[in-house]
Amino acid sequence: MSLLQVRGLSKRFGGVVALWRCDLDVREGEVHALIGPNGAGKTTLAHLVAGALRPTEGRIVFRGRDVTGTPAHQRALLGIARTFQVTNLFPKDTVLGNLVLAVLGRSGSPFRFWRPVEAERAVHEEAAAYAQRVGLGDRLDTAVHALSHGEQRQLEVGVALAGRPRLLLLDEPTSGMSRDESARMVALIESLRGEMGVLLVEHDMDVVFRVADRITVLVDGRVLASGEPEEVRANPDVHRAYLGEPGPDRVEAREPPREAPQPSPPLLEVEGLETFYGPSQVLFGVDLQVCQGQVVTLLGRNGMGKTTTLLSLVGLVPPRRGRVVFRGEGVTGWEPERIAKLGMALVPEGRQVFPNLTVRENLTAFSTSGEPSRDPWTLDRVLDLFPRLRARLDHWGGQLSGGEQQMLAIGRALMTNPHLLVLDEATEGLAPLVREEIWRCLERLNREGLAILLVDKYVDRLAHFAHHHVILERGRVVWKGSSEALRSDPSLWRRYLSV
Amino acid sequence: MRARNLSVEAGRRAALPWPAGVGRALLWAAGGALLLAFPYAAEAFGWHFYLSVVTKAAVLALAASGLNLVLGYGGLVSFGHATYYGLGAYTVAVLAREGVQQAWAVWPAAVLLCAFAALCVGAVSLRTRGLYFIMITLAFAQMVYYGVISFKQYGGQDGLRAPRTDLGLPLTDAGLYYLTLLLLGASLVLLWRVVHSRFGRALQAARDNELRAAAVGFPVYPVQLCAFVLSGAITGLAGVLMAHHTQYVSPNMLGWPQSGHLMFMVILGGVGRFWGGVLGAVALVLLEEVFHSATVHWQLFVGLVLLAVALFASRGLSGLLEGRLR
Repeated sequence: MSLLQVRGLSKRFGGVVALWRCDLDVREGEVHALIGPNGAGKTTLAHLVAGALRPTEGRIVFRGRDVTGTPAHQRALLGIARTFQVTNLFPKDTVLGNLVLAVLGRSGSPFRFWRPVEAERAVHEEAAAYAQRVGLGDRLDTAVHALSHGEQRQLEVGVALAGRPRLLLLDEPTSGMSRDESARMVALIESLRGEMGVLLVEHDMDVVFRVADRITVLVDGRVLASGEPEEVRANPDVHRAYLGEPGPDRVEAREPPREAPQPSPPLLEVEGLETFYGPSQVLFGVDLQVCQGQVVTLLGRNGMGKTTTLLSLVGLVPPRRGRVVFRGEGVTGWEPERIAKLGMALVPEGRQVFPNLTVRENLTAFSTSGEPSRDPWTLDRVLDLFPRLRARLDHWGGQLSGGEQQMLAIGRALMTNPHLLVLDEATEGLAPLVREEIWRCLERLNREGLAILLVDKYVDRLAHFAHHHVILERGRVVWKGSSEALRSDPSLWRRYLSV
Repeated sequence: MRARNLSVEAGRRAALPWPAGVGRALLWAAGGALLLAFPYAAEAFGWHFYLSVVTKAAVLALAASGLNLVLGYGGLVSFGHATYYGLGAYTVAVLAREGVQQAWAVWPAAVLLCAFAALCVGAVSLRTRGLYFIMITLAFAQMVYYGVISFKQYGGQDGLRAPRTDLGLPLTDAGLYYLTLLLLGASLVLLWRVVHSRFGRALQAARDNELRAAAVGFPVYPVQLCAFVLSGAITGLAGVLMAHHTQYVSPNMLGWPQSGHLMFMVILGGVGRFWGGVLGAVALVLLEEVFHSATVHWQLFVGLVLLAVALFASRGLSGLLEGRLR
C-alpha cells in the first residue's frame, strides 16, 4: 500500500488555479521526484502535503489515515517532515541548537515547564548524531548564519530527519549548490532510500534521474505523467511541455556567438577592487571592464566573490579599496541609490520582489528614478517584454511562481531606465524552458543596446550569448577573454568552473 | 565530543537561576544581604520613603518580568498588560469593599481572574499577528478600562480604597517589602525554569521562525496561549502587591499608558533578556524619582533616556551589562 496517497487535489488562490485534481502516490521507501516547469504547482503540492496550505478540494491519505484537515504540526508528529525551498532555519541558533529543537518537537510534550533542556543529555546526543549523519558533525557549535549555503541545506535535511519522518518532503534541496555540494546532497538522499519515502521537488534533471525511483510530472497544475524514470523520459508530452523541444528560437540560441560590438567606449571600469565583510577580505583586487552594448559574465565556483563583486559595484557593500568608474564618473564610495540613479540596476539573487505589493506596484514603484533615456521604459514596455506578467498585474508579488518573480525583478530593474543591467543568478532554480525565456529576453535587451553584467552558472549557454568573460577564483580575477577563447580552453573549465 | 561536553556543562549551569563562579556567588550573597537588611537600615535612618520606592520597584519588576515572557520570549507585543495588572489590584479593592479580606481567598482569586482574562484575550488575539495583535490586545484593555470605570459603586473614575488583606499576621511596610521580594524571587525562579525548559524553547522557536517551529512539531498556538496566561497571572500578582503597597486602586492602573509604561520597562531593561524586566523596572523607578525631585518636567527627561536606549542600546540595560561583564 502507498505511504502517501493524494487524490483529486485542487488548490485555488483567488482566481488562479494552482493545482487541478492531482493524484500522486509515494510508496514506502522510494524516492519520488516531482518535476515540472516553474509555476506548475510543485511547491503548492508540497505545501498541501505538509499542511502549510489547505486544499480547495481533494484528499490526502498518509499511512491509511486521512490527514486532509490535520494541521501542520500534527502531520509532523505523524511522520511528514519537510525542507523548505528557501532555507528556513533558526538563524541565530547553532547547528546543534537547531537539531535539538527538532528532536524536542518530535519527542514528548512541549508543556514541560521545569526541567532545563540543557540537562536533557539524550536529546543532545541524538541531535549530534543527526548532525553527523548529514555531514555537519564537526560544526555543532557553528551559528547557522556562518554556515555556507550548501551546509545550511544539509542542516535543513538534518532537521527534517530529526523528526524521524516516514515521509520526507525535499523542496529543491540542491538549489544554489555547487557541484560537489550537490553531489553530497545526492548521496545523502540516496542513503535515505528504503528508510523512508522521499518526495523530491527538483529542477536539476541530473539529480532527478540519478536518484528518483519514480517521477511525477506536473504542468500547469495537472499531472501530466507519472512512472519510472525511463517511461517519463520517453513520454513525448513531457518532452514538449517540460524538457523543451528544439524550436526555431533554440536553434537561434545555438548559433555561434555574435561578434563583440565594434570597439565601443567603456561604460564601467573597475580597478583593484578590494572588499571586506568585517575583518575578512573577500575581494583581493578585481579588475574588469564593461563597454557600451556589451554582455560580460562573471564566472567561478560558489563562494569565489561573484556576488560580492556585484554588490560592491552597485554600492550595497562598499569596497574598501579600488576604483569604480561608471559613465565617466568615479562612483567609488557612492551610496547605492546614487549609483542606481546614474543608471546601474541590480537584479538581486533570489529575486527579492516585494511579496505584499502587486505586480503593478512592484513595477511602478520604481519608475521615477533615473534620467529619462532616449527610450524610457514604461509599464507597457515591460509587459511587452514579459507577456506573462500582464495576466498577473493585480496579483501579489508573493503569489507568483519563481519564473514570474524573476521576470518581475528584471522588469523592476528596467523601470529605472538603466544603462547597465547587473544580474545575480537570474536563472537560479528555474526550469529549462523558463531559463531559456529569460535568456532570450536578455539577448533582446542587449540587441536594443543595453549593456549587461551577469553572474550565472550555465556557462555553456552564456558562451553563446556573452561577449566577454571574467573568471574569479578566491576573490581574484584569474582569467579574462572572449567566448571563443573560453570554449576552446577546456583546462579553464577543469581548473576554475567544474568540481 | 568536546561540544557535547560543553553543552552538558552549560546544562549544569542552566539548572540554577544564578551564574557560576565564586565571585558571582559572593556578589549575589552581598546583594541579597543588602536587600534583607534594608528595612532595618530604613528604620534606623528614617528612610521610610526609600523603603516604599524599593517596594514599588520590586512590584513593577515582577509585572515587567511577566510581560517580558510574552513580549521578549514570545515575540508577542501585548499592548494590554495593564489589564492584568489593574484587574489584580481591583480584585483586592473590590473584594475588600464586599467584605472579603482573607488573603487565602483574595490572592488566589485575583491571580486566577487575571489568568482567565489572559486566556480570553489571548485566545482571540493570538489568532492574529503583528500590528493586528497589538491593536486587539489594546482594544481588549480599553474595553476592560471603560468597563471598570462604569461601575460607580467601585469608585468609577475616582478609584477605590484597598485595605491590606489579612495574612494572619500584621502586614507592616517592612513585611510587605519582604513578601514582595519573596514573591518576586519565587516568580523569577519559576520564569527562569520556564524559559529554559522545553516549553520555553518551543515559545522562543515560535518567535524566531513560526513556520519552522510548526514544521518540527511544536503546537504554536497552544504554546503561545499558555505563555500568555502565565504572563497575565504573574502581572496580575504584581497588581495585587501594588494594591497592598498603595492601599488604593485607580482606573489608571488599567489604562493604555500603564501598558506602555510596562513595555517601556521591558524595552529599557532588555527585551527577551532574563533580567530585562527587573533592570528596566528598577531603572525606570529610579529615573522617575531622580527627575521627579529635580524638575516638574521630569517626564521629558525620562523620555530622553528612553530615546537614548532605543537608539544606542537596542538590547537594553541587560545588553550593556552583559557587554561589561564579559
